[in-house]
Amino acid sequence: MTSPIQERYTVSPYLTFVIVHAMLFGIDFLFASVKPVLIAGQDAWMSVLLCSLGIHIVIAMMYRVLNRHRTDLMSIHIRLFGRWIGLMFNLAFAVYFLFVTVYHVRLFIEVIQVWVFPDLKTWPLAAVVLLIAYYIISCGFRVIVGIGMFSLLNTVLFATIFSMVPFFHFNNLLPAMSHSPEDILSAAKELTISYMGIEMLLFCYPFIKTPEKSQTWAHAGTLSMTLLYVMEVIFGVITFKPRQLAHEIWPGLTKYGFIQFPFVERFEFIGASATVLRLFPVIGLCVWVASRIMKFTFAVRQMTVLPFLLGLVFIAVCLIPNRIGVDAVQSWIRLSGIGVIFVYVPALFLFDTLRAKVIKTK
Amino acid sequence: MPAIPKEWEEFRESSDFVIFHQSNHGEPYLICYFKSITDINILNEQILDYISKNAGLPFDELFESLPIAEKERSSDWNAIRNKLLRGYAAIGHASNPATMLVNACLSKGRVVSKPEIEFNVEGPKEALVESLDTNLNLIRQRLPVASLRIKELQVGDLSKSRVAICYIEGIANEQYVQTCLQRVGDMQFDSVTDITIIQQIIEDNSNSIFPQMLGTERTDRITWSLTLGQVCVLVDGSPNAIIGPVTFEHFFTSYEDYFLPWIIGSIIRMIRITSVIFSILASAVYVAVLTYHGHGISNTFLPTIIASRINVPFPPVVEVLIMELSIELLREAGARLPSKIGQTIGIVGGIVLGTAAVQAALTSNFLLIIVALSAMASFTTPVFRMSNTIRILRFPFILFAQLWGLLGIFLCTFIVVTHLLRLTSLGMPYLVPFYPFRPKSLTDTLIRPPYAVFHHRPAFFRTRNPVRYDKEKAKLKKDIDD
Amino acid sequence: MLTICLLGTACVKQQILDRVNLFIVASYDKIANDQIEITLAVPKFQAGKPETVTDELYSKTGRTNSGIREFMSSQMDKPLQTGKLSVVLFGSDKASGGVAKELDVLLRNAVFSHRMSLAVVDGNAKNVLERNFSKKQEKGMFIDHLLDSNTRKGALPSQNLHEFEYSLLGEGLDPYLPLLQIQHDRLVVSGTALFKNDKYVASLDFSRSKLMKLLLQDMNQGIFDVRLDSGAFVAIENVGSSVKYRMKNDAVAIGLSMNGKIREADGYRISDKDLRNLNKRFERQLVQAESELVKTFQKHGVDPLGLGDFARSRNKNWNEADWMRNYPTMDVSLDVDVNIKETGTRL
Repeated sequence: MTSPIQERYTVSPYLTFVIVHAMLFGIDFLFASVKPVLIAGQDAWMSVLLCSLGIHIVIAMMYRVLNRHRTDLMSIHIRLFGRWIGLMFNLAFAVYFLFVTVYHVRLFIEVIQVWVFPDLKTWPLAAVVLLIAYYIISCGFRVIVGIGMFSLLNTVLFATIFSMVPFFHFNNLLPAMSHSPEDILSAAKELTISYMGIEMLLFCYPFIKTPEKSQTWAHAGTLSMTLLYVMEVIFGVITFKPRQLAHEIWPGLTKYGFIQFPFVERFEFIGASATVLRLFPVIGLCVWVASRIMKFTFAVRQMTVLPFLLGLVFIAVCLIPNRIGVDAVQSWIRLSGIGVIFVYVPALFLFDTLRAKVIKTK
Repeated sequence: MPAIPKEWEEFRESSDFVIFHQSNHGEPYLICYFKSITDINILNEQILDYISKNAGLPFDELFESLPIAEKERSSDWNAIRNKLLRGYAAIGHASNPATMLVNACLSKGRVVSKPEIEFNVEGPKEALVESLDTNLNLIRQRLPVASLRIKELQVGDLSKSRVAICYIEGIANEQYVQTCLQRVGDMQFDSVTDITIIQQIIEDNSNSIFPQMLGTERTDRITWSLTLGQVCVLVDGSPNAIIGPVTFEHFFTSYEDYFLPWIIGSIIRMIRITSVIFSILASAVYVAVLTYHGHGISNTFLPTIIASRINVPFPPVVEVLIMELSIELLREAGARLPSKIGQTIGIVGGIVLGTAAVQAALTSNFLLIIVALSAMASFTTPVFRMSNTIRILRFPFILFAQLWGLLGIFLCTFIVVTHLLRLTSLGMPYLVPFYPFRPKSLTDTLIRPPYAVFHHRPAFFRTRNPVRYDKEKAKLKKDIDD
Repeated sequence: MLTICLLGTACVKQQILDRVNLFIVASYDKIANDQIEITLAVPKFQAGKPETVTDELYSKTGRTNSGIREFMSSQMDKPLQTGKLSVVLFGSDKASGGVAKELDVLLRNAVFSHRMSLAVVDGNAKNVLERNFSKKQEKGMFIDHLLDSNTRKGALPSQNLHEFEYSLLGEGLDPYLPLLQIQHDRLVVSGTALFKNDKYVASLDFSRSKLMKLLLQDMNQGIFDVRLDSGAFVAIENVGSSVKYRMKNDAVAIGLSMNGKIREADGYRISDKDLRNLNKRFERQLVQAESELVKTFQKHGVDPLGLGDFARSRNKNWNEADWMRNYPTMDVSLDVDVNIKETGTRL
């Protein structure tokens, strides 16, 4: 059903690192540390490690399935579940990725509205962002990943937390291990949302040159994100008191408020505007996958379906009115994200392994 | 050949066409040429003299014994016409259907002079001139190897320009050479007066403001590029060559970097790159900060800015546009005038207008400094076409900054970066070695490395032979006092 | 068409720097029950003369901060831009009545900096702003620099907005702020205001504030006078002190070590023996002074040093109520180790 991808459209295996990094370093990173820290306090870093361990296992499962079939999830679906059920699954994924896009765009606009321009209307910014997204996606997978690479600059911006050293209270890390395992587990559950996005690998697989080699890079990407999350969580613990953190919506942006340069006294608006760096790789990849699924399912050109998808996203973004709406979408996404990563992928893995065994015995 | 072929009547319309019969005894020779492009000395002293001395010889024998290197026999009307228009003299005889074509070409042109656009203090001071043969001579002199290949094509229905494509066999990737040859061969345009016309036509994306091939007038730079595996295109009549494939970074490399000690060269290169970023962003950031993010300026700095702007009646964006446009105006005025008057204009415009504009409260001191600095910074780009791009690139940034402040600048950056990501140069990604990331080829990008680590050619040129010299042989292990 | 449409609606409120009224300092005073008065010092700039900036004061009373601000802008020729606010002064009445409401305003709006300085004014804050204490500089910048050089970079303790909230919301930890006073037409940092929760309860004078900072953090400022038997005074400069807390039988023990340098000795010649004596004497004097300081804290039931917070980090079962019950009578032991490193260029 699909022809193999031409080599000039594929990317090198090491760029899997960039894909994973870009997907996980999204806008939710800015507030991902709040809930785990409130639940597990100074022991939240253990939740991060726990969660990341789970993700590593899921990645290993994904690669087992992918390496066996040597194609992407869309074709695997058809192969395993037959044409109709497979197509249904594919469409479900397309919807899921579109929702992730909507969520990210709306979240980004909210950041801008809260931190930079309180009177900015939603739709003009959404329109411009999606137009740029159209330009990016229409250039193809390589360019989308290139944008992800450009967004690694964000990691440099992350280093600005070291300018806050005078405000660190390392005392807050003690007493260690004062929280019950249940707390740590439930904090780990809260953290899973920040690891959402690795399911992207299921669809990028055929676009990677020698995809088997990319598994190491996927693990490396997760590892580096784990490191960043541990730092972010520890940062949350040692800069804020828990009751203070409970008031913060965006601790990741608040921290920019402590940076000071001779000319620039405030860094928040720079940091908030730099959130676009987090936005574009995520929506680029998500909409690209959604349009690919459409192409696969309905045999239309990706270029034709792309404006429609972006139009849908635009309408959906404009329909989310306020913080409450954003929260509602967030909880829906969280649920489906956990479902995909920790239920669907292991289930697929088990099913596929069993199926392979059965075929072998026959 | 018959007395006077009737096709030649066409030439007689031109007053510089000369046709006459020369005879000693027997059938006369028919001799014709364009006197405007023929060297009359060669004609008189070598050709006519020889013919009159050996008038008895048969036509074929005469042809073979004529002491001129470039000569041929042809009866193809088109070939004869082309040769005549290139400065050949045609000699015909009734005894033979073929026409003898003898090169008596007179070429007048500039002598080789100093580079003026890519001027440098250290290093060779030799620039290309309009004559293709001179240029090829300059290049060949610097690369006396058999593997330097020069392929010549002709483009332009009217100008019949000779285009030379040079590369080094065994180093340059054939794919790039083929692409280049094919694109030049396929191009359709009647008059190719300069290499930039070819450049615009054969570039991968003609609608981009970024040049995708590097124009240069320096022979040393051309030689360097050839040795790295790049392909160079020259055209007769243009004192510039274009080099491809190139990366974005090459446009910010001055060839002089290679003549300086590597630390100094690297620092200067980094200053240049910083100044380019400054040049693009400075006025946009000014608009963004003054229009939307005033509270970001530090307390100690605040009075200076406000006091310099408080009587200016325009919003920052209008102020910036006025200033930027007047700088562009100065630059255009300076460029169109002879260099001495141009300097005067620069001084008058820069000092008198600048001071007056501040005193008349049309602009703030602070902006004047920013605009002047960023104009100056844009001149540091060593490649002229890129510095034009940078001039123009400022304006979308200013407009986006006016719309959404710093956020607008970020969005505009994304558009530019996406554009750069999609660009290719002869099929090679434009942003290599940053994307796709090639860590091993990063050596000659932001810094100019010492020659000791230059033992390999950049991998992204996909050269046939990546090794420049044997690293092991060059390595000298020395102990203290050894 | 789309572009024009976009440009038409996409524009956001412009705040061109020279066409807004900014203010660097604002003050809060309590007028009557739940009536507060806000005073802003709005700098007026003059074209081409960045060094001469005058202030214009705007005051309004009302119930909510934002309400007052809106009301205030009805007197102004340009819109009010709040983002530059760097110093907030609280009148002592206002501070005693609690500042939690004002903190919420400052923290909720992203336009305010978390790094802004807070200070308590002895008396009415508006009166202070009305005085002409800075001849050349803008008042807000003057106060900002004053606080910066004396507290953040100087020998006195202070907290910015973030740190104040941190201490306020943290358990076993109470906030404090620098105290400003007008003395002979000059504005001075006269000491430290101690807070219990968000209410100002006690103050420390200049020299005791200095001692407090010694116990708060490692520092290298501060000059201490030691009286000799002969009646002469020797001034010792702190060139590097470090403070360490540790737990000792459910109470906190404070260890302070300091490297000193003699700055002034009344022409008195200091032999090695004298130096050892001086060392001992200074140690004794510091122990006594610091113990008294801690006693003062205990008496008022405030804990600006964060001893409770320290105890929390060493004990899993710590809780605030128990700790505060024991705090006033707790035996906080002090261990001071002074090392006078040099005596300058003379003996």
